[in-house]
Amino acid sequence: MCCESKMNIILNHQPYEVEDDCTLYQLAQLLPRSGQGLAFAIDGEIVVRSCWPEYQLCAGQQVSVFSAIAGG
Amino acid sequence: MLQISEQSFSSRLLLGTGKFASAQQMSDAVQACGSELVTLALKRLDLQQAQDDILAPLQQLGVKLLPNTAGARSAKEAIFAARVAREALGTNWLKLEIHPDPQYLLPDPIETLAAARQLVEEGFIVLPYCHADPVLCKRLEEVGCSAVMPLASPIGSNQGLKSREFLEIIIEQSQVPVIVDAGIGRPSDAVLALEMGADAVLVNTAIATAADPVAMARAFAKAVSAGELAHQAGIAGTQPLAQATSPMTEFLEAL
Repeated sequence: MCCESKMNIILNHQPYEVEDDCTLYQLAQLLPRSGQGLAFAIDGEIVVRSCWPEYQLCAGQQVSVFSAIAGG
Repeated sequence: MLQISEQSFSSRLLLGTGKFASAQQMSDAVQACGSELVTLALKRLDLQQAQDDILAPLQQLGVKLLPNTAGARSAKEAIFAARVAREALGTNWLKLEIHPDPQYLLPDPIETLAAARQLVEEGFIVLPYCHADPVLCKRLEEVGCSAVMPLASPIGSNQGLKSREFLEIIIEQSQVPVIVDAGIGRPSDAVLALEMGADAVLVNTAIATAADPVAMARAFAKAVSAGELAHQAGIAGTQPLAQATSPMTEFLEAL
């Protein structure tokens, strides 16, 4: 029997459980609009969308995700 | 037509999307006023609470998105916010706003100019929100901003064109579009701004917090049209003394 491994990242300052081998692209699929209108930054650096499929997350990694909201 | 950078707009009314009761009401207001350029803010995604999706209705309307850097207190934060906005929304258009003072939300001129210079170099189409300072507006134009957005009065105050005399100077001297932003409280303020020769106005609070925001959006659209037409028609000058419009004296002499 195969057990799924999980890990915790820190997403917008909150613990967030993902698969062990989760990429940014896979993380985006778990979020509203599957990542449309979102931007990720890791350690203060924005990770462009084209890199999401290859970007492997690590346990405990600090990830910031931003979205558009109403504003003047 | 309003020309900003390489893009033309039929409407000279920019709409802020904040403070509406719902995304639907916001969308209805956009449609009612015919605005083609609307602002958005960026923030960390709230993972606990579902957010009203404003992006989908705006994309459906086909309006151009103008993300802002509200919340930034320095050039560094604004530059980061700009890059986030570009990545999230796929646009290099940006309303640059840096207002560290929470009480009056007045824009920091030094940080704004520094950020504008950097962001223009990075390929952004920068529309900077700033005080109605003619010297600053000229500096922003010189570093490559595609418009200037001088304030009428503090954000959300609805106080109208408190900076009128300085807006007139800016309009006279600017080689880029002048978009009067912040503090426009009623349609007559928008009429006045366009009569003065401003290229456009940005309105948010006055519409979103009106008793009937959709009707108010419509009113502002008419106001902007009226102001533009008046400016084009050539407003007659004021006179210190009365100038008769009827030949009253001839009638009295006949008696």
